[in-house]
Amino acid sequence: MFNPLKQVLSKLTEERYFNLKFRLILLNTFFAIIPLGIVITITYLWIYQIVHDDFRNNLKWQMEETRHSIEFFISERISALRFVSSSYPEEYFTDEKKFHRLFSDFKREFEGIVDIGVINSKGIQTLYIGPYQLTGRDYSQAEWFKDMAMRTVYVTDVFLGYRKIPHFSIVIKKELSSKDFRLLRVSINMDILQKLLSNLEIESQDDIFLVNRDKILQTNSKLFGNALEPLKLKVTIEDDTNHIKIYEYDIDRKQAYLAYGTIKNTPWILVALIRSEPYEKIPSFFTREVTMISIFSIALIFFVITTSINTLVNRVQKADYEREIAIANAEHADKLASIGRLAAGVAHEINNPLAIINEKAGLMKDLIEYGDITQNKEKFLQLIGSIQDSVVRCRTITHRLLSFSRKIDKTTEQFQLNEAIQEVIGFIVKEIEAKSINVTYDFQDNLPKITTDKGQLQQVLLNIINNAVDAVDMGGKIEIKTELIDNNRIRILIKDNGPGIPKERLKHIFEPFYTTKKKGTGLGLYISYGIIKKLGGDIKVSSEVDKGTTFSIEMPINFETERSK
Amino acid sequence: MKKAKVLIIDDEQELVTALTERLNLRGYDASGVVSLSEAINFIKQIPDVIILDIGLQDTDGLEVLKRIKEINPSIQVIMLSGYGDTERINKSLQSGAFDYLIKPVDIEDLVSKIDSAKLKKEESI
Repeated sequence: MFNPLKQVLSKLTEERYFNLKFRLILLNTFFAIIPLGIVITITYLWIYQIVHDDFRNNLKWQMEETRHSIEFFISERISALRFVSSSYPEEYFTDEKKFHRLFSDFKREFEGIVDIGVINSKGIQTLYIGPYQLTGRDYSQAEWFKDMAMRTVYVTDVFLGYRKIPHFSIVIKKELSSKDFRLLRVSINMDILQKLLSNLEIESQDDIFLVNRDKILQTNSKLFGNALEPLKLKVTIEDDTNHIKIYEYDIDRKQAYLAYGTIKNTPWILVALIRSEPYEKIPSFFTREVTMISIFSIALIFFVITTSINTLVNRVQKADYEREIAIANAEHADKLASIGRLAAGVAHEINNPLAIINEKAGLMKDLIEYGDITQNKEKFLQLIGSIQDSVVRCRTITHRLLSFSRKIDKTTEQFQLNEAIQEVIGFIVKEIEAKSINVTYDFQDNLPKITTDKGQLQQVLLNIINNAVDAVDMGGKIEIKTELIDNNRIRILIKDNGPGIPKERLKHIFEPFYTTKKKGTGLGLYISYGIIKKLGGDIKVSSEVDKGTTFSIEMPINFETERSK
Repeated sequence: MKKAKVLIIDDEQELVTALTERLNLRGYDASGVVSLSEAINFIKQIPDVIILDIGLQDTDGLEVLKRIKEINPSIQVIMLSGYGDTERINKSLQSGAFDYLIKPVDIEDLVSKIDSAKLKKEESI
């Protein structure tokens, strides 16, 4: 019994739709995640830039602050010393007691002053107040003393001096006469500079220090040695810049920032080396915030895509299922219609010999009733002969029908194609005769036997030839040609001289439910197309309006071999 | 009542011969032909009833029916065919056939139809 559901289920496996879902979900998720990835990357780069810029600005600002605090520290003491040197009476710089009082007042007001001294124009320290015994010391050979010939104020490099402790001096010159001058000098320990530098907030791996123009460390450095040692860092430091400069610098294959700026009125350059990378803060931010958002977004995208595609594919599957059932039902209906048409033809074919049998037998009965049997012996024998001939005619038809019914089993068999075509013509010979159609055959003689589903192929041929019969006018022409294409394939051409099919209709001809006939189901050619494709063949159509239509069917000689490939 | 003058047109020679003889045995003036070209001469002699096969070799039986009705509408035509589909039956009756019988037909039924057809012809004249 016909079971369309069973047929459909065999065609539409769950696996096919699962694969479709899988591919669609993968593809959609991939393309949906790309913009998210782009957004995350842009956000990362944006945050990177912000953090980077912020870090540089912050570093610059802190460097400026530190520089200003050192400059302020120095300039404040220079101003005070200038005031003292120029405003106080000269006895304050010759009388030890008064000088001591001056120093005490000065030291109280200004942090970091260690000692104070007066040095005459010959470089001899004439007065000294401080923790060391430096009265009478000769500084005439000291670099700073020599430099004072050209200056009125001088801040020295950090040096050890007689006291062997790193310190620096601020020296103020006062011209006493055209040839004589006096120097007022205060010493400040290096520690005070170190303290001023500590105002800059840096991490443990970072470093900040002062160097002079000769790259001699003026304060202790965590990374490059102690004060007064040469700076072991191969960098070019411009000494004439008023602005803080920041460079990216590779140290131990790790990116670092080198910031520096000169300190006004001093021989020093403030240098900071920052090795703590600002970006190290980004991944942690990303791990916590962006990664969480990304994971949530991806999960949401995946959920939405999976749900929508699942719904979509399920609907497609349902639609396919319903469509297949509808087509299977229609296919069945079309088959019934074909059988109906065939039955009408067959009934006519059988009714004619039956009518002959009926009339001959009736005549025999009449002769018995109306005449003498013995006189009509010869006639009786003729009538019996006619009855037997008609029985043979009926038998031929019923055998052909039996042969056709076997084809419904859809089995593959080996047969001669030309004979199979003529069998098909045999079914519709009456219709052909009724329209006086001239059917011509151009069969290739040495055509090899083909192995395929004979019944199905004949169903297709019956369909196409029926269409040709319907298409042509009375006295029309149908040409049927068979030929060998190559060792594996044969071609059947069915050409009619009907009205032809316009191009815009021709492209729809194999679509289901497309028909130009008033009573057509629109499935004949659709089913034919499906059968030929299923049998490993191909079906094509060409047509020219007012000239006719040609169907070309290409079939493998051995369907079984073709299928196993 | 005088028996009808009957013309049988069918492309089955065996059928035409047997049926003609059987009708003649029953007193009818029956003649049989197997093609339209042969039939033309007989039609001119104006038979009462024509028994016409719908599937003739050289032409469509329905066309022949129309032609007969054009020549002489009083001639009654009984269609006798192996086909039994409604479409053919309706078309035949619409084209003026007296009746449509499906082969094989019982001789008594046929005779009865011929008689009825002859009556109708006479009524129509």
